Amino acid sequence: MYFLIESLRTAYYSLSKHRLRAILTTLGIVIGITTIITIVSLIDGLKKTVTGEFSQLGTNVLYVSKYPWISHGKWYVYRKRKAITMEEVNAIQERCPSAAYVVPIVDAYTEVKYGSRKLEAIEITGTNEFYPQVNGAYPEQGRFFSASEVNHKQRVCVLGWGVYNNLFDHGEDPLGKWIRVSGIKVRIIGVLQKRGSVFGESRDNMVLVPIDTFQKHYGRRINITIQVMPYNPEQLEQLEDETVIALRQVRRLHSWEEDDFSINSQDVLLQEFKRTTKALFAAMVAISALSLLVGGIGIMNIMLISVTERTREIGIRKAIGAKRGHILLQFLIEVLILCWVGCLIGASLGFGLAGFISAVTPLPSAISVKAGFLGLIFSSSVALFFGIYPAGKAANLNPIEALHYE
Amino acid sequence: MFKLIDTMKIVFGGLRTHLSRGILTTLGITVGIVAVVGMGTMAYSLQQEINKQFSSLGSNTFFISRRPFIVGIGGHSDWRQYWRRKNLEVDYLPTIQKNSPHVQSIAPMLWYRQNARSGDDQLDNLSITASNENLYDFSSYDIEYGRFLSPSDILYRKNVCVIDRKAAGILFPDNLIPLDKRIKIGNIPFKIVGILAEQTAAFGQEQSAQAIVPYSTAEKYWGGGWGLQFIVEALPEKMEEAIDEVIVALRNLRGLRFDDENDFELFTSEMLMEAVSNITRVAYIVIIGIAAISLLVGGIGIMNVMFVSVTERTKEIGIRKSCGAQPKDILLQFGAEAIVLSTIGGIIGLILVLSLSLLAKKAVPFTISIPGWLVIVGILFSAMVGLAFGIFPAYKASRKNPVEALHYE
Repeated sequence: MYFLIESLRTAYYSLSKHRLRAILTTLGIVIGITTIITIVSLIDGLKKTVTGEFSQLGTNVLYVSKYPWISHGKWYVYRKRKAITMEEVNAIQERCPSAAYVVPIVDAYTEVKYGSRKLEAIEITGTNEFYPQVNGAYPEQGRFFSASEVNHKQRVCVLGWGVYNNLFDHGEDPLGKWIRVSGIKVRIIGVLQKRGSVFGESRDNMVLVPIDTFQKHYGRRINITIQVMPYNPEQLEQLEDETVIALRQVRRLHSWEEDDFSINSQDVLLQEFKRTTKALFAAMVAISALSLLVGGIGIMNIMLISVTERTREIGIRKAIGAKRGHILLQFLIEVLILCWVGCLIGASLGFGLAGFISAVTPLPSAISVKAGFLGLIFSSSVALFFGIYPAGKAANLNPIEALHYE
Repeated sequence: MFKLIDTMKIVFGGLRTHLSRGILTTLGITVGIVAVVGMGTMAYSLQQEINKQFSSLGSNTFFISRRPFIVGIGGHSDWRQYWRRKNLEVDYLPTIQKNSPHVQSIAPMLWYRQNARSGDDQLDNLSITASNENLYDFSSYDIEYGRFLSPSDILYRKNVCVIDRKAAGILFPDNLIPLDKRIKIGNIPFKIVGILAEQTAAFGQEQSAQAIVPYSTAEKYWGGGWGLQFIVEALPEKMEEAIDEVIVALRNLRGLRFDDENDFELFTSEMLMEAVSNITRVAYIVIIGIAAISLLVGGIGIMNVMFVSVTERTKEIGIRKSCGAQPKDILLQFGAEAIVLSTIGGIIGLILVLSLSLLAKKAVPFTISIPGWLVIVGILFSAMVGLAFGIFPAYKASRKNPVEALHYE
């Protein structure tokens, strides 16, 4: 213990004797660590944001649709597939015991009129009574439509928050009013709470109507996307299997035929995002690590100089009984101090810089403990790697020759 | 001149006595230059590849389509408005041709992908261009055997096709010139009437096998008239006139009033190139910027070593000064040392990049070329780093008081 304190004191003494040299050496490490931590923080922030966006789709919801979400540009392969219809929805409802909610979704874009006000390109969604449970969108005013309204093709609708705001004056009661959706009159029974946007696409600019009402006016052959949600998240895989079987039966596929539908989930998107960005992110981290490497080379250089300068001192220490280990430790501690100080300053600068960048630009950032640890481990290994050679050289000096050195 | 040689002698003498120090200092700069020039080379080569692919479309060629080439980069809220636009019609072509004296040639274009088959030989994802006889005027098509599409093929919707060497090789491995043979494209029989010469084909189609069929036939079987595009070639040097004429003709044809906006999109190969480059440029700048940070760290290493060197040689400086050396001479000596160190590092870095790129040539699908200016910039940059970080220690050395310096132990 005493020995360690003594080594620390020697290291501190020799560093403070060459203050400029120590500062410049540390500066190299500081810049390297700052770069790495900034980059890692920004990448982490981006990943977190994207993951958050994806999870808005529902972490335990399966999306059955004609097209896979990730088609690698081969959408033309899937174009010929049969459309998904209410038949499939009913099949999943009847034959999948782990399906808690089955929600058909079908979209069209049209204009919406109320009195003299008119909105263009509003998303009209045909769905059923379970939409709120699966999408986490509950009515703020009024109520959602009921099963019997869906079954009896009632002309009712629920407005998205954005549509309500644009169509009605502030505070005006929309319930019971009639609006025209591409010329067809429907009665407002509810307004959804504000939902924000996913991938820049607002989810408040929509009008929800019962699916049978939708199909009565737009036809029954428009392709449907089906959301399926299990009773609990652990059943997701089982549900996927059940859904595949139900759909293969109802679409009359032979055993040798491939599925002519796709089951998507946010996980698929997440995997794809990770796959496409992995190489870029790895390249960025690797390139920023180069500056740390250069900083490490700088440390080695300075330590070699320092060993040469202090050859006599090493000789004297050895002559009065210092072992190899003592000398080795003395120089290693010097290197480690340089590195850790650099790392500490670099980490705070890096987090600060990442925070600053995300404040002035739309880039998100996340302060991750991981990045900090990464920097610490990285810089320590750089220090040890580049410090061990000079320290070893010092430790192996022959005391007689070292004392002779001029 | 003599002074410079003398200085160099001193510099190299100084470097030789501290060889390992010199090597390590240089190494920092080498890594930095490898990172910067390496990334620069990669960016440049990729950019060249993109340019090459686009310029094979022809510099006085432009396209007309109903929808923009890239939707959703700027903000994808308004893609729906494009869907409402009227389709382009093939019937426009004679009118446009008649009213546009500066247009050399104009052809319709539709793209499909189908599987093709000849006997047991199967070709997945044949990329099909449906057009008319005018497509032959566009520089990228050249017939090796047989003929191109003829006006009567178009008029009578004949099931004929022109295929390229690659498709021919896959569909007919044993027959070098499969003229008049029948193949099935998406289960529809087509007769091969021509084979395209080996070429650097239009963008993105270099890798995949392709076939050209009459647009009338293609539309009959596969539909898709909503995706119709026109490819227009202007007379040499008359690009702008041709664009104006075509816009006017199209506006008339589509019955637009003077205050309506164009309900079609027109883009040149340069605009396409621009759109793609804009996306990639940011990535390059960021990565090269990060790479440059290592050069900065290398520079700091030089500064550090120069300070050490100045301190060590305080006595020498004192002696030189007392023998009549001016501050200028000392400044030159140490400044030159720093510049030589970093320039050597830069040159070694460039050599490394060169050999790395030779190694990588086999591994990557595009040609890697190091532009001459990048080499010069690399050397100048490394010299600049040496100058920037060496000047301060050198200045400090030149200001030393000779009396104190001689005393220094």
